Amino acid sequence: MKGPAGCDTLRDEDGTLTRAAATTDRRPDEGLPALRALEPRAVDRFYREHAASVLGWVIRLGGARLDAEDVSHQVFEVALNRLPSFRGESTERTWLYGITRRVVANARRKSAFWSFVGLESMFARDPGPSPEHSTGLVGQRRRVQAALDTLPFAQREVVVLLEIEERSAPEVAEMLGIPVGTVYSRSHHARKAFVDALAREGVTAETAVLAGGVG
Amino acid sequence: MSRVPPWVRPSTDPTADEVESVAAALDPALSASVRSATAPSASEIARLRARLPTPQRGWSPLWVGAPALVAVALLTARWVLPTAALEPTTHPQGLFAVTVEAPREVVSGVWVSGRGAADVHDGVVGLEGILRVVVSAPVELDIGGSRFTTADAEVHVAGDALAVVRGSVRAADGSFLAAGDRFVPARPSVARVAPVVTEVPDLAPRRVPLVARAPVEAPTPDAVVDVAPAEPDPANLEVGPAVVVQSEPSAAVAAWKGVLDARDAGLAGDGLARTLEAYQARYPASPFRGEAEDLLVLAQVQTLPAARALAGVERRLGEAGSGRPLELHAAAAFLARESLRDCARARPHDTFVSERGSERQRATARAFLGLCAAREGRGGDARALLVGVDVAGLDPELAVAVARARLELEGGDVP
Repeated sequence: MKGPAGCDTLRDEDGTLTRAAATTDRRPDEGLPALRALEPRAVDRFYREHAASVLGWVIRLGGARLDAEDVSHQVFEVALNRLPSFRGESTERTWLYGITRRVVANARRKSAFWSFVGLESMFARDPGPSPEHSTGLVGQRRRVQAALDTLPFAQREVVVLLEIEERSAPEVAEMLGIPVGTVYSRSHHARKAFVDALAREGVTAETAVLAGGVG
Repeated sequence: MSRVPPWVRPSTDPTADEVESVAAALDPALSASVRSATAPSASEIARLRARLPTPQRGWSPLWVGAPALVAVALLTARWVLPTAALEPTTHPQGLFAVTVEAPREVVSGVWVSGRGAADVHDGVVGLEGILRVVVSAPVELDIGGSRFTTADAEVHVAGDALAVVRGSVRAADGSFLAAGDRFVPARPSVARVAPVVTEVPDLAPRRVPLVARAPVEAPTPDAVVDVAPAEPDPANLEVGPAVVVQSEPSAAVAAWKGVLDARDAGLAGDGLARTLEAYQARYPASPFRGEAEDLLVLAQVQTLPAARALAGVERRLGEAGSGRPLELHAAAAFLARESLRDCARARPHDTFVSERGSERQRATARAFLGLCAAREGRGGDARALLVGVDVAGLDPELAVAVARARLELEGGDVP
């Protein structure tokens, strides 16, 4: 039922969905000293392996109000500052996910604030035309993000990790630091709410195919 | 001890449908659809990777620049130290350098003080000459009695006039001269009036009048922060008695338009803050100074640690002339409440917004006041504040928080 643990997806310019390369969920015993010493090759490997995961988490957890690339950049800034003290007691992915969820939550609070005080336009970015627009998937992404946004954060991250990214329940439990049973119970409630929200947004498997998404 | 009857367990076992409901994943096709729609694209990954932070491995730029400093020291020892007199030393190839430990007149009318190294190219000793000064470390220049501080800048000096070719120079009064700007003293040129090489200039700081480079052009943000290099016409460095005493208002207006255009185009955070600071430094008497200060402290909400940002916002609120009190109070409330977890400090700011804001802003601020009251254990206040909040107009997450707080308050279960 589930795909291989830790598999990450990214979309090619033509819309084809592929697995990101070299996304091993390693325990960094071997490379940890180099990573903690911030040796360029180790950091480059760290970026290469986790950039797609982090960006995907931010897109899915953060919603449409956030600039996903900006927030992902913040995640890696925090990670880089903390790498020297990373003890390798968890996998790199679990450790990075913990940072991502905190940065996303903080960014969402700020985002709500800006829209409240009417400063959104002051900080709004004009993204301009992008390859994503040309693939016709932007609207689909916004609708999925809107559906995810209706869920409380705890349910949203279970849906993202378990249902969308197809990680195993034990892996999700480790990433979230909760029992496996809690993962299942959260997913049970979240799944129905998410499917209902998707339906309200008009997202179905068929619409994704029409948008040119699933490869 | 009695046992549980054997029929209890089967009657409470989950049904096959229930098990399926819990264990089943999302419909595979729908899951694939959702995954596809939210998967980052290759171009998004590439853009992110292009701007990922670079690790700093503890090598300070000072260490990196140490060999260069040593080389400069050796060169200056070769050229300067043997000549302790104030007269400049001319290199055979028309170059001389000076290491500055104490105020020193490198050429007539050009004094350099502070620690650092200054290379003066094409050195022509004489008030009528045009000098090219490349300053490689922070030094203070005293030109015709007006003081400037600069680092990594290139300036032309002719008599007591100064033109900035590259980088920027800070004058003693805090104003900036950027590349393309030139300074002309508000008095007749020493070169024309008193061409006496040995004259010791007045070292007292004095006001620095500026002549804007291009007063009618609408500058870009780069023109405010890092003005593009422009080689001034040496002929223009002829010093005359006519001087524009202050930055021209038209230049300040045009520059302000540039700041706003840049902000509208997406300049934010650190970049916006730096642009606003540069604008304030360059146009201290601008009619938009107050607005620039408002926008600066609001930009710093994103860039500074919360405590410092809050102090800046509250300082600004304590000053006269703010045109954005509502946004400033909202920013202060946010910083105090969400970043510092200080409801007491947020209260006056939220109260201001709850009284002066738009309908939606009032409802939101009232919700925050109520939630803070609940957090602080003031159940009565919380109930009174939250009961009248129209959740329909709130951000969804805030509306949920208000609804939950109301339920808890009704049950008397407020912590």
